Amino acid sequence: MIGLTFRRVFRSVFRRPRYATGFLVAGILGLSGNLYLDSLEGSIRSSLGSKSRELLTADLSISVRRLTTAADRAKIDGFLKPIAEETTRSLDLFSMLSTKTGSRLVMLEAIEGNYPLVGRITLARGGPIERRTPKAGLGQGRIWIDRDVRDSLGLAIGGHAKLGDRDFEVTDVILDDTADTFRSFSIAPQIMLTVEDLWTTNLVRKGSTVADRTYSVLKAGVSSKDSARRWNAETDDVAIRATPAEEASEQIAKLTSRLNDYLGLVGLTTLFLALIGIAFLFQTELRRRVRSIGTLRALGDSNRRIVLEISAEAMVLGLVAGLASIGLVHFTLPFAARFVAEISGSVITPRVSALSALLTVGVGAFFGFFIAYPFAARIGRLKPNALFQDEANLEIPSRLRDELQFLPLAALFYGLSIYHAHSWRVGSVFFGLAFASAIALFAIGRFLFGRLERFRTRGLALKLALRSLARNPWSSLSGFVAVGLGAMLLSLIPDLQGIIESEIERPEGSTVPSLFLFDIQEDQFPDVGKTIVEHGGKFAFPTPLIRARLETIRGKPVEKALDFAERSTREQEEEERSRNRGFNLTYRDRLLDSEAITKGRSFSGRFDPAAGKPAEVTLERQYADRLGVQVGDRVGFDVQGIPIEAEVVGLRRVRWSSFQPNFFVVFQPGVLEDAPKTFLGGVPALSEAKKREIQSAIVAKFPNVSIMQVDEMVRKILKIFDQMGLAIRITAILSIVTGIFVIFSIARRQALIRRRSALLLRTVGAAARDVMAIFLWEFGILSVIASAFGVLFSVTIARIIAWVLFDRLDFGLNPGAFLVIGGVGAIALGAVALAASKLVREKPWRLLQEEDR
Amino acid sequence: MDTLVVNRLRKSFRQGESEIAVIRDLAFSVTKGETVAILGKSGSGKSTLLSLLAGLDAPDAGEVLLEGVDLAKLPEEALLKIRNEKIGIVFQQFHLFPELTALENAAIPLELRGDPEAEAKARAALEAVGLAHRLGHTPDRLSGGEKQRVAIARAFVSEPAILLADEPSGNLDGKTGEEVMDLLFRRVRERGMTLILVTHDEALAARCGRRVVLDHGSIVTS
Repeated sequence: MIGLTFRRVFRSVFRRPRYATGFLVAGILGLSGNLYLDSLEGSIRSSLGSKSRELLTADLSISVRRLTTAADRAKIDGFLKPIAEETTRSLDLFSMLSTKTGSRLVMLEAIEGNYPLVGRITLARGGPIERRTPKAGLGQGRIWIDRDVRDSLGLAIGGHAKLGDRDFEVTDVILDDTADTFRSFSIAPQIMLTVEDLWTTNLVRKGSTVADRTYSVLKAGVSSKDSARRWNAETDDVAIRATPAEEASEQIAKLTSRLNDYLGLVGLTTLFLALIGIAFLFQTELRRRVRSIGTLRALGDSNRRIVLEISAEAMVLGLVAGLASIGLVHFTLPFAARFVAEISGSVITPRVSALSALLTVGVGAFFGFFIAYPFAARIGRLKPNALFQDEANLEIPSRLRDELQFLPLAALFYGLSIYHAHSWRVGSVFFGLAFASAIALFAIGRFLFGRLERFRTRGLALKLALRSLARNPWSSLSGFVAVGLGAMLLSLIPDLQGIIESEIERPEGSTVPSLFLFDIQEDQFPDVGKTIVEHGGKFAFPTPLIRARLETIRGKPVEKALDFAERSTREQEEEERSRNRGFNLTYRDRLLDSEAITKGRSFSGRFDPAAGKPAEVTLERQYADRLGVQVGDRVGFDVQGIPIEAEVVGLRRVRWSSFQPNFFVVFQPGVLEDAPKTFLGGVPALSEAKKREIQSAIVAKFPNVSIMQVDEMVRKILKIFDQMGLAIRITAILSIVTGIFVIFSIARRQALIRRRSALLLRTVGAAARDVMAIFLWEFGILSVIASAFGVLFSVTIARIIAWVLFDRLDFGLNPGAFLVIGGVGAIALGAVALAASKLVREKPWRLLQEEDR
Repeated sequence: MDTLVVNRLRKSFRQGESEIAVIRDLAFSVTKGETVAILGKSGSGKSTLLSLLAGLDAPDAGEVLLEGVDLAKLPEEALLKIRNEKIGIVFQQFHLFPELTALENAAIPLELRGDPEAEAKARAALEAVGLAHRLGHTPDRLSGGEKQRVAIARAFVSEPAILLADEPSGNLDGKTGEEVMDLLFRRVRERGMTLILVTHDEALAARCGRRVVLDHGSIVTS
């Protein structure tokens, strides 16, 4: 019996080549997008993973974002001595490099003689430099510079540049550094010097932001992961973190995986569209087969087996679509890998992982089965005599229980949303929005179609089209929801991209600075302001910056880091980051215009130590959310050795893209004034010449102050975005192609359902063009209204996202939205004209022939 | 005067390599107000003949003259007009528009020709078949007999010269079928309309003025 079932399933698939081809094309379109992204991410991860020691330049790194004290060093040395074969230290900090022609922000990497312990640096003149290679060109006032510094400042080998208080000679140019993957994305290019030379620059001062790292190659048999875990568990200071080589590659891979997460949702959109298309394709096919099903039933075949066989056919097709997607991705992935390598400068070995392949085939088979089953079950429930009716006229009743059969599909889709977003929050929001939009479209369609009939018209075609829409609610509404969702998803991607780009390029508000100054020492602060004013600028939002660490929440010590292996979602990563890293905080008496209190209140005034009340703090709302902190809770900080307890009096919404000095934690004035601190601030919009003048003056007078050119940074981000945008556009094109397929399958089904009415109209004297006009009116109205609402939803959702992300309400409408409405309408009309053309040409006597059946 | 004249009518269909002659040199005529039953076994060519008489399909050869106009020679536009104004058809399966009410179904032929009184005439036609109380009902809310009455009203509403009926009681139970056929014949008689009725039912055929028996596309008895 099972053999017969298998035989019938495969025979059925092979004997319906057009249907099978349509199913497979949609399946491949839907499945290959995510498989592509998964495989590309997997390839990047495995390529980076194989180079993880080179990326960290060691087996283990112990680092802290401040200068280590003698006590810290003793602890680190004591920990490493029994397990490390060799250690080295590096200090990284931002600084300004100036020459006679100009200055720019650079990342200083001060190293010791045996750096890098693993991997290599390739120099233009000195060639590859490794652990044992003598660093002849470094030290005693000599530095190596990145290619980017050479090109932007016109600095050649033998040239001179100033870092802090000291002049340096450029002895070589860094062409490649195995530790510096994705170097082209960096805002500040690299400068290498020795640790000894760094001390002579006078750049490292109290409160300077320095990353102090101790690298080690471990003795044979010592596990870097276990060692890192042991350090992180035993150390008192959670800000000093040990990182094993394996995690270093993971951290770098995150750069691409974030983008991949969002692309994954675009890919999921394509899958969603493909499923809608397949559902309509399947329904059309099922209607064509009702007589065969009726015959089987009449011959005594069991209803259950017929339903399962039909569902199994779809499962086989889904499975084949999965396999075909694997083949397609396998053969085209090397091209994508080459593209990624070109923009990132990192070599990627392309491969489709077994897990991704299995997931694709599994998803294909699962979706195939569960898309088919609910429809097949409805047909199976009909009495055999009903199945001998004309396929177009067949009334297939629907009950709530039938709709519940789609739940496995919804559950898998929800699971995939979370899996691809790597975030239950983003995944849930994505799924929730798709689901809510479908419900809303359904409700709108129902309301509108019920009222269409009241519209009075003399044109018979329009009148009949309106009646048909109104009186075939299920068929009209399913088409309406599918077209609406398709249009929404098609419009959402470019709309969001546009909003994000315009936000980064031109954030709202006039307070975006031209220059951003940081690492200003307390004693320099008044003079820096004065210098800016002297050169025609304004020193805006001068802000103290104090290094601190979160110690307690509601009196309980902050939990330690999650184990490396336990983190699987963005939420866990963010929570861990919030809890474990040292961070900068500030104090001020009022809010910036980029922030607003969303819960609680602002400060009551200056802190009064005599009042016997704790200090007041406000927290950024998402940061508070991650920590699980509410208004009224007490939080304890370690401010450079001094414990301070504070009460959370308010939560703030912050527009991070304002480029203003925004902070997660802000204290009320009167608490931290005496703490060691640096200052930062901005200089509002300036001409290019003025900007250069102020930068030169500051660099000359205050060589330790770092200056970031905001517009240069924006350009850099936009460049990255442009490269990301290409990936988004490619994925979006997949969605659009799938969307066209969906519209065509809906049009075909609608045409089939209307076949009998069309023939009947021809019989009573309607011309083929009249029948075509009815089709065009009906589907034109349906698709234009549906796509208009779909676009309206997308515009709303994009603006809600923009509001949540950027605290910005944008009422401007992207002209692309009209393009989507027009495009979907035109495609729909074209598709229905194509689908109906054969039908309206059909001879009306077919109706009489069918009488004889 | 002959309402319908059929002359040396031929029609065949291709089935794979072979050609099957369904109507072979058929000739007969029907005078105004005459009622004719076409009988024959399944596959005898009854439905094909009906589709040729209705101008729904074109013959391979021969003529179908309706009130002197050869349907086979008419362009599509003119044929549509004839179908709309001169021919009424009643199907075995009723073939009502499922989304339209009884009134709208009956009004369709008149709406197609742009008659401003379509609704009023359709209402009258439905009242005449005893469905005044079912005007706003869609077919799914009508019984089989009621559906066929709507179909009859639709066929009569445009006051055609000829009514073609294809097994009109074939889908109805005995009593309902009888009632509907009584109605059909009464209306035909009242209007003095020409009726061609395709049926298996000898008793029904006996109610017609003349019987034409088809076998393999040829008339064996007339």
